[in-house]
Amino acid sequence: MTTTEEKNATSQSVSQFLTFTIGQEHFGMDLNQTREIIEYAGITQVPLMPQFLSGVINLRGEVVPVIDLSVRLGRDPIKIHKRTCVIVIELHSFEQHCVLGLLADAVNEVIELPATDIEEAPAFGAQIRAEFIQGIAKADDEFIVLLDAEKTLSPIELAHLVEAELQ
Amino acid sequence: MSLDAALQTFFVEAQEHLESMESVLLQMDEGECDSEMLNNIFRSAHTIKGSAGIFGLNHIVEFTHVVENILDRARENEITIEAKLIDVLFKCRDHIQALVKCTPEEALSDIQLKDTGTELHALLAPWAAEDLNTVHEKETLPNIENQNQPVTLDKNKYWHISLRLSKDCLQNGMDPLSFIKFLSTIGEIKHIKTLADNFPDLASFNPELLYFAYEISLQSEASLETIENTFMFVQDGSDINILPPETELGRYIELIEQLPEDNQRLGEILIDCGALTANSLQQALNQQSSDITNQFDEKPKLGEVLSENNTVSKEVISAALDKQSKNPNKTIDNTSTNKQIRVDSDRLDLLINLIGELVINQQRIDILANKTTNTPLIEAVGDFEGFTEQIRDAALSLRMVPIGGIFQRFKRVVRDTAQELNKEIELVIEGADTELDRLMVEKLGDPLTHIVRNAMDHGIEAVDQRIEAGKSAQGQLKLSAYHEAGHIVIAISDNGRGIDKERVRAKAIDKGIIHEDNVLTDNELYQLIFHPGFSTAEAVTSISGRGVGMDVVKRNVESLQGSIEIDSASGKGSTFKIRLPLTLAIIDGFHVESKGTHFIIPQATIIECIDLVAHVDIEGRHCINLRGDMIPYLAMNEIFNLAESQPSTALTDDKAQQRAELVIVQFGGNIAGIAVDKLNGEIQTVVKPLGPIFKPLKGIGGSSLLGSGEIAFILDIPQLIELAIGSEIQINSNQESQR
Amino acid sequence: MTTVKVTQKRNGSTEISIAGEFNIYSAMDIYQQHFKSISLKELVNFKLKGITEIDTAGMQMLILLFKEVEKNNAQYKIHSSNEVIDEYSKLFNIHHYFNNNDSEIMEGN
Repeated sequence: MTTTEEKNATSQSVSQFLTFTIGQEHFGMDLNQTREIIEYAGITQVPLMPQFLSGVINLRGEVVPVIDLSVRLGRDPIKIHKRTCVIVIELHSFEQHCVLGLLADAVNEVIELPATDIEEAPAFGAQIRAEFIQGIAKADDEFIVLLDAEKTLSPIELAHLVEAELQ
Repeated sequence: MSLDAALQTFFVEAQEHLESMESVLLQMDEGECDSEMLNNIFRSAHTIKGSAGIFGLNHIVEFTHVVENILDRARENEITIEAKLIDVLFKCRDHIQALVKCTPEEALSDIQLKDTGTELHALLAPWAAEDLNTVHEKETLPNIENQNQPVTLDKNKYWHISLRLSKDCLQNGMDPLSFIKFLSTIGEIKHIKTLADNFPDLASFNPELLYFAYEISLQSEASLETIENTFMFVQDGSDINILPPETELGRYIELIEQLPEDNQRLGEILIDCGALTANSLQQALNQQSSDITNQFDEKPKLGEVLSENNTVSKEVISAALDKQSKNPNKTIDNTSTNKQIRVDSDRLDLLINLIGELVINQQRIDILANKTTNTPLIEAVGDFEGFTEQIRDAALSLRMVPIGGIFQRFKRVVRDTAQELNKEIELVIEGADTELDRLMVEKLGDPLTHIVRNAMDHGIEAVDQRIEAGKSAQGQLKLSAYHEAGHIVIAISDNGRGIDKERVRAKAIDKGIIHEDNVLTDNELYQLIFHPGFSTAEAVTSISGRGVGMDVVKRNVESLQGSIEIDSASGKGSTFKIRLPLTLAIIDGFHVESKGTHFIIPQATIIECIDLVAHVDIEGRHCINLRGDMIPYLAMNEIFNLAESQPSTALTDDKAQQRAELVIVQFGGNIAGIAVDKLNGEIQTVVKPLGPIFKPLKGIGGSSLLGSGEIAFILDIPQLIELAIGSEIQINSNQESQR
Repeated sequence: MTTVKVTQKRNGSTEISIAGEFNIYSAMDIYQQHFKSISLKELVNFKLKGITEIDTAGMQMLILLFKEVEKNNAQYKIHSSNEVIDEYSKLFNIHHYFNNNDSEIMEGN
């Protein structure tokens, strides 16, 4: 909390976001948290996993879990097609850093948003849990939901969901 | 090496010396004491002080200096090591450790730390030489005006040190200034010659490189090691020659020839430094050449030559020769190879990871080669495989360290805790040379400490209670490590009162962890101890028992893919057994498939593979009759809910799919079967952890990449056996069958 | 902060005055700016009193300049002594560079 306030106070900081599309919706994620984007080339399902956990992929020797963000956000599972891609993100807040893949229908662009252009998430009315949303931005007349990756993809919470599924 | 890295090395080494001091003190505490131990502990204190001096960590130098003096007196048999002194030395060692952990600024501002230091110095006073205190007051920072010697120089010894330091040492924060200042704390610099011969032209000068060269004549009682250690952090790329007082003439001549400067000039410099006189150099040179005729004779030592010529007093020579015969193995120059090198653990991990990749790629090549009919290629690949395995094993062994290191630490923990608790406890260590992965060693410290303290606090009774119970007054705590079925077991046993099952139960009910009606097996009951918020101690002591910890112990062990069991007998004692995989990095596995999903079974757990025929289902549980024994088994497709629709990119052999194969595995004395569709054979596999998200998934311990690039899951056999046996126990209770 | 002033006089002499911390941190900048292509002829006057700190990098640069002067058959003069330089040069036995007219090597002090 204080850190964001400080940021706003010291400079009109500009953040970069990677925007992508799932279904008809546009999302953005802090570029600092994204590592790379790769083509979808099959996935190994992990037994007994809940639907949001699509499986694991071999990312140049690293075994990386892949999340169906669509399911995670309470929507239907993403449909795999030719242009499906995997956004590889890195989370650092957890004990050791955590690499995850996200399925997306398309990756659009990197946009720069000054802090002033980011609006707070509406307290209610959004179909996505408010704590997942870092803010809402508008670009080219489209709303972009800026996701808070740390919250949306918190490994601890995901593990709890897996545990629930297994019981 | 940058300054930071050098400092880091200092911290690591200081820690090692502190550990070594501790282990010597512990031995002394047990009544052992010989000159080697005294030398060891002295050397540790001395090296810490010395290295601290190089970095200007004067707070460490100042305190350690006094300790070192006491140890030196002990070494010279001026004082004897007695129990009281050992106690003080333990405290001093801890204080040094505290000092190492803080910056000079912190040390100055931390009044408590300063008070402890002063107090400890006062405690040491009875053993100190009379003049110690005054020496200590005089000796402040290494300072050229203040060349008070900590050790009185009773013999005349001149060392010659020739320094051609690495050119980039200034950039790395190493100014020769600090070395020279340090040298003047361990002796007196009789002469120094700063050579500016190798300066480049004005235009090609690089102001950040070192061009100065130094020839130093040092009078010091210090050992070669100490002087060498002064330059420990600039060794890379440096040419450092340290010639002890009675060095062979040949070495001087070699040195002269080896150095980049003009020979004639160097000769003059050595004369300047007092290392040689013009006359003796000339004579010695002549004699040296005439000795070529007697080449089978030992080379005359410069000392001998000089002695014959009566240029140096006989006493000095004999003292010097005496010194030389005491250290027959010491080599003179720094080209002597060290037996150990220090490697940054990150770099080691990188190497292991890369070798992991190498193993995978080798397997891929193997697959591709075997698809061809090219025999030479297949043979070459076979050879390659052999070497890859050797590389893998060699690399992994780099990561393996004996567990003795952490066991050793507990000697101190046990000694102190026993004193604190007013109990008599003996620590027995077994299997200290059992090796395990360094990564695990690092993470085991905390859980072990907790269990050990717990055992001492709650397990082992007070002396009067023990005598009352007809036991020896001295309790015993045993730390042992051994191999078992591809795992390492670390057992912590005590011969105390054992776990009071009724009290555990009552407590668990009281805390609402279990319900009064719950029927629990002993094992389940003991496992309650690991429940968060559980503590059986009636009084909360500082040693253990704030109700946090045992749950953390279990979590820590599980994070290492390990498990923990408790065995206890009332009145006799308890044993905590931690079972860990040998390594977290690479395992020998057996590759199987079920419905197109790839699994790896750790080779060490496998007893045999059989065709699955004629199984019996007892209450929905699968069992087979294996040579008369009923063995439970798990079908992978059932427990993992695998459907036929799983994509299988591997060549699917329909016939193989029809038949079920059974892999018989064992763990901790239990046997079970694992039913799969297909056996693919042995495979070396690099364990890729699946990450925290998959932790709740029982039966799968990690993942691995196959040569084809596909992902396989490594089966967690202990968990699977638990699953299979767990059901068997229920069956047994109904059917009164075996075991 | 290091201040370096190089003044070339009409008569061919040069005055170099250095003040502040003269060490590895400023050495490269100072060298590039002032000394890399300096021409030292006739008489070079060094005013070093203002140096508050000197390390081996700083000292090397001074010696470099002295050597350059000697190479050009010129002369250099040090004006007034400086404590930090004295301390350093005593420690390393290079004070003969700073004893103006007398460059004889001093035996063990």
